[in-house]
Amino acid sequence: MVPISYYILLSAAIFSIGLFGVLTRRNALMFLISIELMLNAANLNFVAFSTLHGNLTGQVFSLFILALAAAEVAVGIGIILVLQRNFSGIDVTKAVTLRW
Amino acid sequence: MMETSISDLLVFLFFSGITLLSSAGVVLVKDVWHSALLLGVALLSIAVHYVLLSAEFIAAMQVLVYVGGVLILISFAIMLIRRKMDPKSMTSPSLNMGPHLLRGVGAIAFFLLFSSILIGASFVIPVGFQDGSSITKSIGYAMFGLPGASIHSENFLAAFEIIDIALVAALVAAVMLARRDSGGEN
Amino acid sequence: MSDLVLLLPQLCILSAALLVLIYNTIFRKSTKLTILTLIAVVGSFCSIASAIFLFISQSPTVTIFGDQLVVDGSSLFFSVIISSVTLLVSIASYNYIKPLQNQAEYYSLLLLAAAGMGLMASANSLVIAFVAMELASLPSYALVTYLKNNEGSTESGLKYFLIGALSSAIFVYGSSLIYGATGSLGFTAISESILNTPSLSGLLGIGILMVIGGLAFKTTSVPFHFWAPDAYEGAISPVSAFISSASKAAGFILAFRILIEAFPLDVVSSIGLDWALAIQILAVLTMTLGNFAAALQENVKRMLAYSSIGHAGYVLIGLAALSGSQDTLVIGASMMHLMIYGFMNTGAFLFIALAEHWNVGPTFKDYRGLGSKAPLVSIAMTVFLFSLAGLPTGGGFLTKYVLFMAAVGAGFWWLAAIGAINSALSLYFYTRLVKSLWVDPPISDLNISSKGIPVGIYVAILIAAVVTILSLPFFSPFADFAMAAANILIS
Repeated sequence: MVPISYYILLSAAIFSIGLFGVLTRRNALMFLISIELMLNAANLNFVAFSTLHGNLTGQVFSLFILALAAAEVAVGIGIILVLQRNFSGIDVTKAVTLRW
Repeated sequence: MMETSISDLLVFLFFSGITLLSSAGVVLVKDVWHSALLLGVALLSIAVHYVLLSAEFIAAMQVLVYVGGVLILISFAIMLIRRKMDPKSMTSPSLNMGPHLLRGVGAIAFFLLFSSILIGASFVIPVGFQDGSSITKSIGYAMFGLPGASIHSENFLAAFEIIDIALVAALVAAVMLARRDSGGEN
Repeated sequence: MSDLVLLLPQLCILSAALLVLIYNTIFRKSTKLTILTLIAVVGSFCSIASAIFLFISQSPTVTIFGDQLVVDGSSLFFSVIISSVTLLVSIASYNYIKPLQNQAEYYSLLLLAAAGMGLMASANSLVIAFVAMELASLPSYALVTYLKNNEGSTESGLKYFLIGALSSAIFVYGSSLIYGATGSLGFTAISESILNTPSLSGLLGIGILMVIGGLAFKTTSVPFHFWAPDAYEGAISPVSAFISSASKAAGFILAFRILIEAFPLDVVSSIGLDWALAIQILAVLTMTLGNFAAALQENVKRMLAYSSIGHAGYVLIGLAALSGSQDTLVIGASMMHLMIYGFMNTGAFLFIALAEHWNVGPTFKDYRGLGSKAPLVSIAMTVFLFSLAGLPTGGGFLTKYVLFMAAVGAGFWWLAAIGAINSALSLYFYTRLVKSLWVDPPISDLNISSKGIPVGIYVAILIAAVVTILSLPFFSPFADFAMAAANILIS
């Protein structure tokens, strides 16, 4: 087994890549996909720390995050589809009725 | 299990490389469809990391729920949104480079800050799980707050019940959003 | 069994939500809006009643489900706030959504979100905190997007969702770092093991900052405040009232609990992590930004949205002043303010709902002369606005006074001074709306009598007004309830 800090570094890299995507992309679906990366980084942390501490709290919580991420994606895609019907496009900066 | 053998390290580095490259691809490629596919690669390689961390059940759930559920959902959304296929997207993936990437500087700053702190941190030697203990069985006990688990964990019964309600809420929300009103029931 | 009795405030709302869904499933073709409203009203009323009953009869603190949930004075206090807002919004929604579709879904989502907020008030571990936050958020995203054919509503729903999903990812990553540093997710267990891991304090520090970031979304504080004006403006007004009052209160009790119980200041400052400093900065930024931006608005709903950010800043003073000597008083004052704010802010947003019902336009100009056409509700609105500004027309005057005095007593006179300056500024834009209502000449072509009197919205506004006014002469029950709740939280 490799040291835990390697995993934490890996997860920090995934989280930062997700954050990078959130900051740079304008497509609402890309935003959602980037957030999935960030949630996965958190899950990787939880599983790695679970091994570090020898208790299962982290592993079980990562299952819960998995389930809620799926629910969040379902609601998010619902909103994106509604937006698609209204604006025929999902560029988050194109919808400018309100100020961003 | 505390010794880091060279083969362990090689496996870790190999799959970390896949994870990082595909995640970077997710946020850099031009086409959303390619991003979604690369997300699938990243999620699968993270499942491999779970196996390496002796979390086989989480790895299985990762493949079933994420790759089998979330990714399919995202693919459907992409297909619904892009009725007309853009001929450019049929070609091989191309990177979406440009000045807009400068906005991502905050993410890089976060990573540098985080890794500098991580280098200063010294973790205790991992406790790990004993060889004979059944992790999956203990997860089941933890989820329903039952006594008898061989590995300690917090009681997740309340969280389990709340998730139950949250899924109902997500279902109602998604149905309300997806339904076309003017046509009545459909 | 007795565990579940303690959760009665949440269970009442939850069963009302499920009852709405069941009723809608059985009577698919002939769903009556009156019955849906009745279920929601009865559910939230039972919730208020059971929370007050439990507060009177219950021993101070009980943890249930293996320390995951806690029922104490503060959880019951916030259950009362959340359920009262839900009650008012349910009554007012009756007229508002009458011409719209998906009425059963609307009420069930409203109640499910309220149940999630109630559970946030009872959370005793980061697991429950996250799960309950999602239960509160997911229906809220859909509620903001409720007008599916309206561009403003869908767009604000998308913004609300994207920022919400981002902040929950940040929150959960922060909790993973806290778990890594301490090995547990329960609040008490975290506070006990902080001192054992001095070498991981950097990791813990980033974790705490990220969790504060996630909570800032729920409480509409800087740096995650910018969704609020768009979401409140785009959503239908009853939903804006619900999110700006109930959701904010739930976010604040969670922030109080996490910061006070999991990371007690005396413990974390010994390893060099002083979160009070971060909160002081956030409090100053939040109230200044909220009030200055509110002063610049032409749109009444956006003005109220920014003013609600400003009020989040006032409440943050309570957390920021914790390192002083008057912990119970400052937190108690914050809680009182949230309670009174729950009524006056909901009332103000419901007045906007009434104006929208009458097809009054969105800007200050469009509200000219409404006072002469609908004097009763306009008087109520004037009470709300002056009470929000801190004038003695309602309890808002006393709660602000107690809050600033407590901050001064705790040694944070500069926080109180900035708060007072902001209050003075807020008087400008609240008075501007009052002037539009009463002083300016009426718009001639506005005919509100043809639309009839929407009884539900009227009743909700008048209840909120009566509570706001009565909380001035009868302030002590509110104050005692809040102080008892704060006392349990601090000790």
